[in-house]
Amino acid sequence: LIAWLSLLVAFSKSLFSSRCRALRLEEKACRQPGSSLGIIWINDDNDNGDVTKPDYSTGVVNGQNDLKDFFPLALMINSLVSALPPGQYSYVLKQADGALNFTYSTLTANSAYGYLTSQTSTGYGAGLSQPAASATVTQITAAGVTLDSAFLKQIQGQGGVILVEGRTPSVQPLVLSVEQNGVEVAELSLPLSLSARILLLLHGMNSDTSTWDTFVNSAFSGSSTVVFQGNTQVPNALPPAISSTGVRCYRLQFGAYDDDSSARTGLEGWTVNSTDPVSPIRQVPCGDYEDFGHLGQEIDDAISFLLTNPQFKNAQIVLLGHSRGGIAARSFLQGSSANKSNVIGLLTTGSPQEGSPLGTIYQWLTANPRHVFDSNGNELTVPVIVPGSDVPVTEPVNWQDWSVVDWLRSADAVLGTFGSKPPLDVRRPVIGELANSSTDISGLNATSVVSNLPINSITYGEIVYDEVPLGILQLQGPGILAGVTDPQYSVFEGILSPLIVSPLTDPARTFILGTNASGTANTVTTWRGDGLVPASYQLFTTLPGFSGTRVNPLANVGGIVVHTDEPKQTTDLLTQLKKVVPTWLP
Amino acid sequence: MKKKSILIIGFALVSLAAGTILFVDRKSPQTSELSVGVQEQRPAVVSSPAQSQTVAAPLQPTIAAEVSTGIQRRFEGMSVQERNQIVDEIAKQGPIAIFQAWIKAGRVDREPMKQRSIGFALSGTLREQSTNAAIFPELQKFITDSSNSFNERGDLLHVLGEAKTKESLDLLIQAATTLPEKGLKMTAAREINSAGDLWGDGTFHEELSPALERVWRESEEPYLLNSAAVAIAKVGAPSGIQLLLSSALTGGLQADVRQKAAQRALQDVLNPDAVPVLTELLVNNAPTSMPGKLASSILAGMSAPSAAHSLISWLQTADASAASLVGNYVVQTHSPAMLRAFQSALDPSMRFSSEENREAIRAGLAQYNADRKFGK
Repeated sequence: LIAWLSLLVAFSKSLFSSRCRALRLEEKACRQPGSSLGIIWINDDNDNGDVTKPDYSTGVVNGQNDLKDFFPLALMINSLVSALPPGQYSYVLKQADGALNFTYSTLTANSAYGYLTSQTSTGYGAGLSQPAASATVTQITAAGVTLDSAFLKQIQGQGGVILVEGRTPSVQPLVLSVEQNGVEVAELSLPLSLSARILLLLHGMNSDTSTWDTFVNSAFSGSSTVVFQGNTQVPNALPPAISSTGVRCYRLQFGAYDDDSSARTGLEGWTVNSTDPVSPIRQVPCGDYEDFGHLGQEIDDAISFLLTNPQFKNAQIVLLGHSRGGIAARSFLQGSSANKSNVIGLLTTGSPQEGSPLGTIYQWLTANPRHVFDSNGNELTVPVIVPGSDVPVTEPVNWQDWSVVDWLRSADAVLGTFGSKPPLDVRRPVIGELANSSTDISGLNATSVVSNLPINSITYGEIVYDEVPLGILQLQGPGILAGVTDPQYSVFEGILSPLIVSPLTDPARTFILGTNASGTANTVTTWRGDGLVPASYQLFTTLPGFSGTRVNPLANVGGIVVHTDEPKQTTDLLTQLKKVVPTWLP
Repeated sequence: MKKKSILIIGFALVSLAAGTILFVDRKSPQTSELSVGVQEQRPAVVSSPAQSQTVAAPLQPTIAAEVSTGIQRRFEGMSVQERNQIVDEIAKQGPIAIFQAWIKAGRVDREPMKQRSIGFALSGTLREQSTNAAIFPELQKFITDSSNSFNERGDLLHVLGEAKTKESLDLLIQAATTLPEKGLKMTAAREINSAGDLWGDGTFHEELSPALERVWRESEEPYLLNSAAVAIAKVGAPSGIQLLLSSALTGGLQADVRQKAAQRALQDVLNPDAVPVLTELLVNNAPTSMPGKLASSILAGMSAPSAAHSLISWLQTADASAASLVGNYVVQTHSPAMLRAFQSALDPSMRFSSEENREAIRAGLAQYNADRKFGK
């Protein structure tokens, strides 16, 4: 479990009121120079190789790798030791929750990190005679642990260093009590706040947790646990590994409420349990049939679950949402759940915060269904000329727009153009919800609702992708060998080669692109963004009612990233995450 | 207008000639209402002998306790803690009992949310107890029994896909290659595709590669080839990468589907174990040759520091023709390790056989930085 320790040093007794000394102690205990906070996480991973015993429970340092989970705490108490000699006074470390272990070292404040580089040398643990990598550790209990007098004599005049590791979450201080005959004569108190750091990744529509694979592999060495319906795949599974800055990564799989009584029905009566010959694959729930409220509920469920782990008590959580995942996050944070208090950051990337004009295709298709009949019950049709034949074939009047719908959701789209990406079924209700003109979006963005976002406790950030015209779902690529380059695909342009795919009709295009305030028709470049969401619609901190703490949005204006590729952009994600939560990243 | 006419005509031609599925819904409205958006009808009672046997089996204590209370609250109305209490109790039992509970949740309780939750736990148990052989014949029997509904069988394929073990993969491959129903075959293929997704345990599961490679060698089905290619690439075992590279570099009409599938899939490689294979291909071919371009582009898209090191080392010794490629690689970089490697190449102490390669990196980095702006 990851946790951090705030080492704000307060000397409670006047004898030791030197602020300078206190700050110096804080600095030496902190792994991040320049930061006012030291970081100590709970060392419950398994460097010992035994998954049944978290490292903090073994009573020893579990090898060289485990040393990375220890932190030096400089005890600059040389003056104190001189004034109150160890032979006559006892120095007792106490922590009310027993949240820390420690081991002795011969390090000094100036060489506090020596245990990370000279791991084989002795000078640690009991008798200061053990190698760092296998030194014995002792729990700092509520009753207290009396520091070894030999250690105290050694640090006389120069101060000393103990290595500490976290055991459990706690907000109780670390106390150094100086006692004589069981009576306290002085006390140093270090306020602590040990809590887990959790990054929760939220995928977008028509997607799943694998969309984060590149990011998780790069930023978390591939360690990230999936949460679905407020649970993990294996009950009581060990948490994912901690990063170098004490962060654990979880991925939420949406879809818990896709076929419950609240689920929405899409065009042509489409539900998550529907199948048809065009797309015969059994659907997997991913939240596309839920309203925004239930998407937010899924985040609440996930956080409720995470907080049931005693090690995650008081956990700090950052939400990172791609596309609709960012909408879900906002829905959660604009609600009334008590779990909001655990969230300290929200970063969205490519999120349709103000919806997307492309979503209005849902309205267009609603008004222009696959089959239209006259008052006599006869289907309206149009003649279509087939090359090589002078005889036109008869097609339903709206055949062209619906052929785009069918192609997007067909396996041909996957095999012919989109590689491994899942087919996109625009009949799903999520498409209509994410239209810029939808009541779902206007409800989410109402000033009185936006103003529910926590103001001071959360830092907000956005990543915006720009310069790709609206409608482009795939850019040309990968372009390695002649003849096998994937074509660019836009719903407004179709594909000429190698697979001939029809575009949407002109009336559909006009409807979707709309007109500007002066009545002029918009174009695909009016709505430049990531192909799916216009750039300006990817922001939420500009909405009326927002008054929270925000960092400047990062805009990638290269025009080479389309919507579905955004979760892979690890450098962009980490750059902006570091602004949202500076101490969470190296 | 001319372009649109061509598109419409071309579209119709392809649709007719290929017997494409694009126009399946051109029947009478009555027919189409039946064929599109059909709701899954779960059987109210168990009809097949296999199912009878399953439900007739003694209910596990937890399930029995639920039933005995008489009034069952809906799963979706429970708190997370309440739901998890039920599912975690079920998950403590063996995989066969969990499977029984999964069936019951759908057929008796009629609680899709509960069934999915149990299915998720079943995946975890299959992963944890992958050597528990007794469960797999049961799962196979259920999947092949056509009297079970399409959606139930599809959902069970998803359970197997989420497990991502050798045993579950074998079942999926069997389903994808032998089931008579196209929809289920394609569902199984999709789940094979996801076999390469990260487990989240920090390792790449190369033990899956041999089975996937067999599919790649033996199958002729485009959808299965595509799925296998993606999974092989994401698993990233050297043998699998070698196989895909070979297909990606084999031209000709016959190889077209494989070639495309392999090339697309190779863009998904993340496993550092693939780096030596790619490096070997890279250093033994000219930068702008097909093998050279393929290998360098794959390495450039990886996140692993070893991939970055390999690419930069190659650029140091490559001739100036590599400069035509590298600028694009830099601009498209999404990995911190790769970005750092490119930045380090600007250090004058790093020697390049061709300074043009360094200058291409410099130009690429300038573009990379120009592409990123911080707004107000």
